[in-house]
Amino acid sequence: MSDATDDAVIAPPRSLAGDAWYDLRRNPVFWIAGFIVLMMVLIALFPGLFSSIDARTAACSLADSLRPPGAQHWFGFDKQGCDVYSRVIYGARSSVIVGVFSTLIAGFVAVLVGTVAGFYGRWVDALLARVVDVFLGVPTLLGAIVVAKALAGQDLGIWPVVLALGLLGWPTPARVIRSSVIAASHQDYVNAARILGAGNARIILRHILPNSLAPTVVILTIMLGSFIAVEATLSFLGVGPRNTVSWGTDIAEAQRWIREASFPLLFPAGFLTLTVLAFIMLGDTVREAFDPRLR
Amino acid sequence: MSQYIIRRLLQAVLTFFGATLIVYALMFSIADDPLQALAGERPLSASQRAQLTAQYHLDEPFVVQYGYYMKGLLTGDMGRTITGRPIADVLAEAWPRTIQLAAIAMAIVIVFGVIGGVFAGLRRGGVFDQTSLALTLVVIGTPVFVLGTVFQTVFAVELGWFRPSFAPELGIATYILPAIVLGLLSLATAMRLTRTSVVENLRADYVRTANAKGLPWRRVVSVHVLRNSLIPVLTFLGTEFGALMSGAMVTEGIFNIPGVGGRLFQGIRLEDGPLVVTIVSLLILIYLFVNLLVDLLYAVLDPRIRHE
Repeated sequence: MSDATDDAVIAPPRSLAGDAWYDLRRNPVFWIAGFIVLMMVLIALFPGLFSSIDARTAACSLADSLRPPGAQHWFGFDKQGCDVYSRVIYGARSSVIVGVFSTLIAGFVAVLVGTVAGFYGRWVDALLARVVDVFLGVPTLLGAIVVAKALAGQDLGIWPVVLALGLLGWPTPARVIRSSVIAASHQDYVNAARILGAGNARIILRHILPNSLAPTVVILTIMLGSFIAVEATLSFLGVGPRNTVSWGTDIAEAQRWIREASFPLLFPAGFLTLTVLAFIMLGDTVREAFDPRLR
Repeated sequence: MSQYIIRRLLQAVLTFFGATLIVYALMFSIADDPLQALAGERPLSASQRAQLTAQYHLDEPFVVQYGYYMKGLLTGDMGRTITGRPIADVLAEAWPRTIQLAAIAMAIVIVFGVIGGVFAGLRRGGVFDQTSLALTLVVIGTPVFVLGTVFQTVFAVELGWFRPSFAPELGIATYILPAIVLGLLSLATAMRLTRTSVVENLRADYVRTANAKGLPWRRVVSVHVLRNSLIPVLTFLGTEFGALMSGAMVTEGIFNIPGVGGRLFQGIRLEDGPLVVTIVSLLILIYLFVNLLVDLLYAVLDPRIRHE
């Protein structure tokens, strides 16, 4: 107790990031969301650690069709007689891959376009703003359907979906980073660097970007969750990759037999919601911690 | 004001052609064999190939193809489905159902979302506020198709309160459960947005002035705070329109409603390429149009926008 008061008196004022971390450490939601995200990444990387049955190769027996959950098979069996638990575990991989890689693509394009537009301003900014408008005019899910449909004949796995989401998802974060870059480029330290003779590339990479990435990273975390949701929706609609275990496909399949049994639907649906929610909550708590207006 | 409208219209024209060009290019130039992509798994006979090539002018240069496609969309000549039915007929039958569904969903969003948001914002940190913040976050994190299938399972199949699929003999009542599913996502976001802007506006100078003048609290809230808080909600509803359309596709698909979204859903499942491309393009047109309308309305409501 006395330590805490001493700290408060002696400690120098914390930076915004320090303040944010101080808040985050005390926020249970942050830890819960972080834990779920970590678990999902682990499951996606090493599904074998979590399930002794490999859902991609396991033989399913119709004798087990729709057998309810039990001690041996926690989540029961689906209509085809496949173990629902192992399918849920192996389904995490495609969701996580799509989420991570489409976010990387969207983030890369967004940082590139947003920085160039914000730093150079004038006609470059005006031109890029129009390009952003055009891409915002295509709703993500609808655009992704068209891409997935056009490439359906070629067996490219989940990569068309990754590419489509990445290329349709960048405009929103690009707007965010553009405004942070504009704010950062009027700071004194940028002027100082320029007077000392730093070139544009150095100013952008060493001074502006490190100071303007935080809000974009937060938006991208939230978007990662929504990309996972879109990927599952595409699989649910039947335009996702074939021959891949995926939560969306399993939910679509289970929905057909909903009148006979609901558990094959509820388990993958629960995992999907939990994952999407974890990413959104993680981004949300970090954003709140970084937002000084809420203090 | 007129200058703003003209500038905004010019931008809309550009966005419109840009966005449709992207969709068209995605559909017809990234596929190895666009005809086979249109037909899905079906084997294509030589005469079907010839018919599709003629329908999409695939033997012409790309720009000409795109020109024909836009002309068709804008004049209502939308070609035929893969089974030969005119797409315009399919859509004429489907629109009314989708509009009914969307109208009920919108009413749910506005009534519960806005009223709930105002209550939560006025009593910030209260029990209602905390509960609704947590609940709306869960809804935002749940994909529409999960919400739809779970609601269908729980409320229609298990509890039997609703029919699990479209029943035209029930009239408007058949849309209630699908409309709740469709509206919930926007409702959650609208509620959070209303709450945030009510909270921010309660601290505004003009609220202090209104209080100091001795206006009754009810009037301060309903006239001063509410009016200013609804402006961002309006923009949100415009930009969320895209999500609402995707949501309609999934919801109508799940509940078997033969509306525009339901047709798109079936088109995807039955691999009816022409139907999918046409509906997607039309939805994008509507989306752009609604966004333009919202932007113009926004400028009317908030003079700061048009003077920037």
